[in-house]
Amino acid sequence: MADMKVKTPPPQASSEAPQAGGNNRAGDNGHRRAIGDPGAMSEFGSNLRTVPSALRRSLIRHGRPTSDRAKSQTVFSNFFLHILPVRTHLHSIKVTATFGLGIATLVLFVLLCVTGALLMVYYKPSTDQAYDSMLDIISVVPTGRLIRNVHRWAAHAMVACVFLHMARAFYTAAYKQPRQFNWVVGMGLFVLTLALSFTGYLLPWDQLAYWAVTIGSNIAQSPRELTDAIGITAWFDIGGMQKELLLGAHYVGQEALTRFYVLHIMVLPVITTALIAVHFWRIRKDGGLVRPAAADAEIEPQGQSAERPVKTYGLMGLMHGRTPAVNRSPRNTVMTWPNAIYAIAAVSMVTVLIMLILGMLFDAPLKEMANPAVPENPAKAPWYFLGLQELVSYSAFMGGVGIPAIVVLGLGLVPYLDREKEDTGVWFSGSAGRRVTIVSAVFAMVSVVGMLWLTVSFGWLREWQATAHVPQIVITFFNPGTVLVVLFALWSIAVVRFTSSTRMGAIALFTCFLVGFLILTYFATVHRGPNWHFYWSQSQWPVH
Amino acid sequence: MDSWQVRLMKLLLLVSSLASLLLLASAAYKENFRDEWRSIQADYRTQLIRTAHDENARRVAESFPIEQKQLYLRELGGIDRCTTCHLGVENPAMVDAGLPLKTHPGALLKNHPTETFGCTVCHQGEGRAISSAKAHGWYRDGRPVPHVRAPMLRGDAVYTSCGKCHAEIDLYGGEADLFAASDAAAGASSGGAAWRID
Repeated sequence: MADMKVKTPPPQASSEAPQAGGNNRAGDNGHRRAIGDPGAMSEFGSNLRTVPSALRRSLIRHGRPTSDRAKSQTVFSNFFLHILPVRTHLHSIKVTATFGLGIATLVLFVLLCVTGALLMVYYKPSTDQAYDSMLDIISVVPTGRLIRNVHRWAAHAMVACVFLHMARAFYTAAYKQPRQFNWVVGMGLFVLTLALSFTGYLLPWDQLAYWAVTIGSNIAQSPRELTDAIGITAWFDIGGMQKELLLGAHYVGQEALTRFYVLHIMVLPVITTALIAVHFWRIRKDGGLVRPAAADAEIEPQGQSAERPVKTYGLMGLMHGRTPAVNRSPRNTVMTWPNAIYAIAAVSMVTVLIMLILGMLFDAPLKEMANPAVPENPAKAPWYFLGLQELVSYSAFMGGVGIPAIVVLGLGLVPYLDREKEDTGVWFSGSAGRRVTIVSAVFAMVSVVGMLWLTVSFGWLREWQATAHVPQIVITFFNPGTVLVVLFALWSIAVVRFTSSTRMGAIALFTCFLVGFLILTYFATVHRGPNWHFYWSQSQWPVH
Repeated sequence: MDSWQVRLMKLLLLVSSLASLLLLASAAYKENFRDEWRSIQADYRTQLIRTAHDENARRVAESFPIEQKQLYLRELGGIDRCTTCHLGVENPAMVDAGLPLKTHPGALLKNHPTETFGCTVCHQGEGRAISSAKAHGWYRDGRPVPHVRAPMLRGDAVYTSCGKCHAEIDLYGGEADLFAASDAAAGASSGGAAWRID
């Protein structure tokens, strides 16, 4: 308030009362000075000269972040930065705690939004023009090729980072009390990421896009496998309804392109942004990133000088502990500015650099224009759905709807089925968990490879004499996919019994899922060729 | 004094930022100076200057702009960017130049001006592309470029395109023979005149 002086009129002026505050310009009687007084001009002059520093002060309302107080204000008074706490626990910025995967995923999302917005300037979501506009973007639009490539590789990278981030959160037991809900929010983000990637996949309208979405839409129709088996399709065709909802028609055409476009550029990004905000909010509310109880004892305090606390107005941050921290810095925390800020900035920039390198070295694919008369063979879904596609080849419903639902539900329920409090924040919950992880990985590898070998060598049910005419419903519920699900469930229950720990059982189940997913994805990528037959390598595919 | 972790993060930030800037700069350089079509256009400009018959023509030739060129085909629909490299198609002075600057052979362009017809209606190829591989659908050594939707018709196969607009009875003289013979040429040289399924 110091610069709001009360101006008194010069003695020879008229007898106007001095005004308190300078905002009153109430017409002729409201002059603070007499007309002819040179003071206002010089004030204007000095105001003009000090505009730069005044602007700076209104933009940044604190001093340089040299003192702890200024560092606090730097974080706390900034709209974007105040999602971060003023002090960060040292454990949270250790590389091995998170590997920066959450930040990487966020940065990739931002990069996708930026490159996506740029692509929107030239992309045309019409079946006649989509492919041509893609050619224009990669041929003549300045930087178009690079931007499109970065967009494509960042999309794949984001899916990969979401998986890795989920694995990290799981193995450090970051779903435990009080973070259960944030795990569920994370599952929502996982599903949204896959949906974003899938809706974007159609937009180039090339052969790759068209047939991948055709497969996807037929997977959406797969509940017919069930309704046909029990004979109710005529009255309740949930499969057909799902496919129509997805495509807006009975085939992949303009309606599908339009609604995928709307989902991809607006609906899904908005929901994702909202959930990201909730996800970060929950991190703050839950007391920061997960850390082991021992983290407070492990790490030496960084020799922070215990500054005399300066009186502040406003709540700067919550601190745990039973006694007020007077003349004491909170142990094992450091100022967010600059420590965490630089860590976040470094992770972000490295992510951007990697995407730029990929974008410059590798062109995103663009096959021939979509042609409904010429199916791709094999028509493969994007890589993150290939594991699913392998399961779909066993049973459309189970592979496309049943097992994914079981997996998503199972993963989502983990924090409520495992409520042990020990070893939260410790990788694999310690050495016992490491052993369970390794043994479960081996078990999963053996079962998955075994099932694949069995199926490839001997076929399944219909290829065997005895069961050649078995009804479809039997295959729906008894196929290599369901057998693996049951095997994994039995395995993790056995682990729970054997180790007397739900956490160990959860680790076992998650590891089985992860290893199974990786092997199935690899298998479907490398070893499935035309007609979904098994080949050792692509060089063996039949050539026409 | 910053802790070693902060110094490491600062270093990572600096290195990755500089590397990113460098990459972006090199991408900008490649796009604006190194694309093949630019050197072809520079070649053409040199030839124009060389063959300029008077001072006026020289000055015009010297100010020849290096830029992407395209033909926007209103009636046929579509865009042909072939003239970005094939600059001399309608320039009679370029008869002795080599490809891609050579004048279009024969008298066909008299009845089929490029402004109206473009190039791909007869020659096929990907009109919107700007690199020779993606535009032609063939590498220089003759190998096919994957995933080009309509690779260029090579050799006499180009005459199959006459049938797109003309009934054979409308063609006379040598043209009818060329059209009739082109089927065989198409089968031999381009694996099918229209479709290539990969």
